[in-house]
Amino acid sequence: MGRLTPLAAPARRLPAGVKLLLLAAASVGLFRLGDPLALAAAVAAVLALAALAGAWSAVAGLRPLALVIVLSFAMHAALGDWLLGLVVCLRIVTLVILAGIVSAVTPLSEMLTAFERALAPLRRLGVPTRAVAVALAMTLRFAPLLAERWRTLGEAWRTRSPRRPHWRLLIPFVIGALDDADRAAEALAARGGFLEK
Amino acid sequence: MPSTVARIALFAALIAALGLVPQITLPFAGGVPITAQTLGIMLAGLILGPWRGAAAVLVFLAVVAMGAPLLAGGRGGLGVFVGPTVGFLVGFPIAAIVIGLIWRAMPEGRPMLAGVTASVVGGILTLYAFGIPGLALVTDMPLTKAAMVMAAFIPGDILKALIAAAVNREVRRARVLA
Repeated sequence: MGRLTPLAAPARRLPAGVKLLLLAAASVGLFRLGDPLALAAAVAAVLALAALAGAWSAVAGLRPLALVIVLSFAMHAALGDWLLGLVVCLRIVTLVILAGIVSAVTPLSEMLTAFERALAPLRRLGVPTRAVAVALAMTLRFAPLLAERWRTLGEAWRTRSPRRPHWRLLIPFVIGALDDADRAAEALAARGGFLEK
Repeated sequence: MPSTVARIALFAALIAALGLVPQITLPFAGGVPITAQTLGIMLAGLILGPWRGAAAVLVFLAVVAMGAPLLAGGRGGLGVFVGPTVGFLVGFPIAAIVIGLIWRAMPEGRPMLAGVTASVVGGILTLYAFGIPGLALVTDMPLTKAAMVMAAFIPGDILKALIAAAVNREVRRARVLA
C-alpha cells in the first residue's frame, strides 16, 4: 500500500540520521510556535506528509494519547485559557504524528545501524559498543518469545484452575527469563562472545 | 561479560513483553486493567540491581525509540518521546537505580519490607518526580494539576510495588542471583 504513494520511496531512501535530525529541528521549531493558526497549518502539513509518505500508522499512534490530549485541553479550558489548551494539544498532535512518520518510513535495521554509528565515538571512552549492539539485537529477538511464553503459562494455568491467571504467573516467567539468559550467555561465549567485527 | 549482557538483554525483553501481553488481572483491583510496564521497571531494579537494572531499562527504551511497538498498548517509535508521558520514560532508568540501591541498603532478612520500600520510593515517588513535571511541561499544565491527573494511577502502582516485592522474594528463593 505504501508503495503507491508518491513520497514513500524517497522518504525511505533518506538516511536515518538525516530524518532524526530533521525531526529534532522540527520539534525545537514547534515549541517556539505559539500561534494556534500556524499550529493548525502544521497539523495539516504533517497529515499531508503522512498521506504522501504512506505512513498513516503515524496518525493511528495518536489513539492511545487521545485521553491525555482531551484531558489537558479540558484542564486549560477549566482554568480559563482554552486558547493555550488548543495550542498545546495541536503541538502534541503535530509532534507525535511527525515522529510517527519518521518511525514508519525507517526500517528497524536502519535505526539500529544509525544507533551503532552514533555510539561509535564512545568506544574510545571504553564503552563496549559491540556488547550494546548485541544486547539490542537480543532484546528484539527475545521480546516476542517472552510474550509467547507468557501466553503459554496462562494457558497452562487455565487448564488447571477455574480462576483467571493472576500475578503469581510472574514468578515462573521471571525465572524462565533468567534461565534463558544463562543459556544464551553460554551460547554466546562458545561462539566467541563480543569479538569486534 | 556475556552473562551480564544476556541478563540485561533478557530483562529488557521481559519489560517489553510485560507491555505486550494483555494486562495482568488483579482480582482485588475491581478489574481495572493495569499496565505491567512499571512492574517490569521495579523487577529490573530489585532483581538485577541498580546498574544492570538501569542498563536493562535503557536497552528497552532504545529499542522502543527505534520503532519497536513495545510500550504498553502497542506504542513505540519516536512519538512517545515527544508525547505527554515522556517524563516517565526519562524517569524509568533513574527509578531502577533508586530501587536497586534501596534494596541493597535494606536488611536482608525482610525481603518483603525491603522490596516494597524500594519499589514505592523508586518506582512511585522517584518516577512521578520525573513524570509529573514532564506532563506539566508538554501540556503546559500547572504542576499541581498534572499531579492531580496522575493521582489516579497511585493505587495501581502501590499494588505493583507489592507484587514486585513478592515476585522478587520468590525468584530469589528459586535462583541464586550473582
